[in-house]
Amino acid sequence: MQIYLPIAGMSVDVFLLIGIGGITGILAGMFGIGGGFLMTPFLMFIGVPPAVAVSSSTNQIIASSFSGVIAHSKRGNVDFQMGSFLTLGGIIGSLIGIQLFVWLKSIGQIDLVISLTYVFLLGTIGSIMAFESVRIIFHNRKGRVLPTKARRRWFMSNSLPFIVHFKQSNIEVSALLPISIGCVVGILVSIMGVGGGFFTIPALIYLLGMPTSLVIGTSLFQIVFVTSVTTFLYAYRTHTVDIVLSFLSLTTSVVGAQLGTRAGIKLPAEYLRMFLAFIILAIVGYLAYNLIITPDNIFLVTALRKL
Amino acid sequence: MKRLSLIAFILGCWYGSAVGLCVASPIIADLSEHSILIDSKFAGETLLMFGAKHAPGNMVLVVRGPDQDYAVLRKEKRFGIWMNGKQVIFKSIPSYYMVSYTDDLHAISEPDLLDDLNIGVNHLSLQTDKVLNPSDRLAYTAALYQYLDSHELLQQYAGGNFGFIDESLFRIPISFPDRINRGVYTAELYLFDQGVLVSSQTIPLEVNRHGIEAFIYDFAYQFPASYGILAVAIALGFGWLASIIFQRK
Repeated sequence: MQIYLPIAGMSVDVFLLIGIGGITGILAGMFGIGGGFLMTPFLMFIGVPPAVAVSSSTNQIIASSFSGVIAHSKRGNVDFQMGSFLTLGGIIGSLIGIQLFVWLKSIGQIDLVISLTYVFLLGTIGSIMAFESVRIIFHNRKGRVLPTKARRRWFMSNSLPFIVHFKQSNIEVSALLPISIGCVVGILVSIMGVGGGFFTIPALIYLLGMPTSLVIGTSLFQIVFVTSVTTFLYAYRTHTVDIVLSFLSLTTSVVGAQLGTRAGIKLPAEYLRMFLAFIILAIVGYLAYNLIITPDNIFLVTALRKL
Repeated sequence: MKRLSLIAFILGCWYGSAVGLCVASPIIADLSEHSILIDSKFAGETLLMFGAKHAPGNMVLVVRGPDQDYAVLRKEKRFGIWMNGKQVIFKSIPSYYMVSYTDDLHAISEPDLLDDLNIGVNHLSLQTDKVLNPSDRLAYTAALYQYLDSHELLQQYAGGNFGFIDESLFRIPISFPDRINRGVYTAELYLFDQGVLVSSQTIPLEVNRHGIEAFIYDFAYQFPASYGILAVAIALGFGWLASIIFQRK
């Protein structure tokens, strides 16, 4: 069944949107990632103009992340204290990111920068996470139990000023860390139009030493705020948020987030990290491939803003 | 005698017009619809142009949409990776262009005349924001045309899809894809006889949005802040709604 999207200026199959919405929702609930990395390329693939794809999927991410956060918080899996610091950093990061975005656009290489950032940043994160989680699983399977050391965290996290005791996660770290993490995520979100969960989750696990069970919900908490602010800015400044598009995909994504949360909780933490790591590495592989292999079409044509 | 000549004159005209000699214009045509309304179910539309041809010659139909600017970017491989190279902006290209002609266009008329009238894909005037060397111009133009063609925004019927019912009556289907711009389109019918333009007729066609789609679009542009807040609110609302529903389960 086709429906016409007013801002995108084209008609799409309703079921495609519903389907992709559901999948991104499940990913959000299960892994604490926004799903924008899947939604945005998918929308572009079916012909939605890139700017509309980014803005509208950011809009939809609000819904699934919010649904997921509520589901996680009911189970006591959100560290709101940590989330607040992350969000504060995220807002600062968004403001910086927007300026950066404008500058990169003016030199015309924004796509390249986005792809390279993804490849190097996520490649590193994904590899570390894959290696670490697979190692644990491997050892557990062999019956060996790794010595339970205190969850690793970055060695400097205690030496920085403004130490805060985060009750729920039961860690004491400098508040500057979550703020900086949030800031980096805010920049990434403004430039790439994604929720940033990819960076937040490994950072919370490895830099701060938060338990995996709390990380997902807390990450979603930050994503809700950052994507809300970003969606508003996109709508206000570029008029590219297609409410019909977002609405159709978010109906199933909010349900997916609920289901994903339940499924994710049942999984042991290291398996969750492993799956997430593999998803990240798959995306990195896809992007790296596209950077090196000759594209199908050397030319890219876009219609410029009209009536 | 006078009455006889009057009768003869009337009979002559009647007979004359039947063979296109007297009063009838060489071509007369109309569109099946004069407006296309884009509503939520819109997925493209096909109209019909129909009419009668009373004089010898070749007909050409051109349907033109409102102007649109396009950016064409070429990717280049540098340092082993593909990055964005030169971008050329094509200005004031018809956002929809359909041309239908029965014979080879150059058999129909002179290239100069075709250029003046912008009849035919190779006779469109393309303004670019920068000066291009011939090979670049060719490559970028070809890329633009390929894009338009793939989205059904550029259609050329070189065999002509004029469906002649008899010697003079014809009908031509005009198909529009879903992504057409709104604005005033023109359907131009030309009659060429031995290279000379004998007659032409232009029929306007209005494409507009209608209903809730139009309202949403206008709202997004006229009240962007409220639209933004609404978009966020709807997303949050549904997220919350889902958690309520699942709580009961």
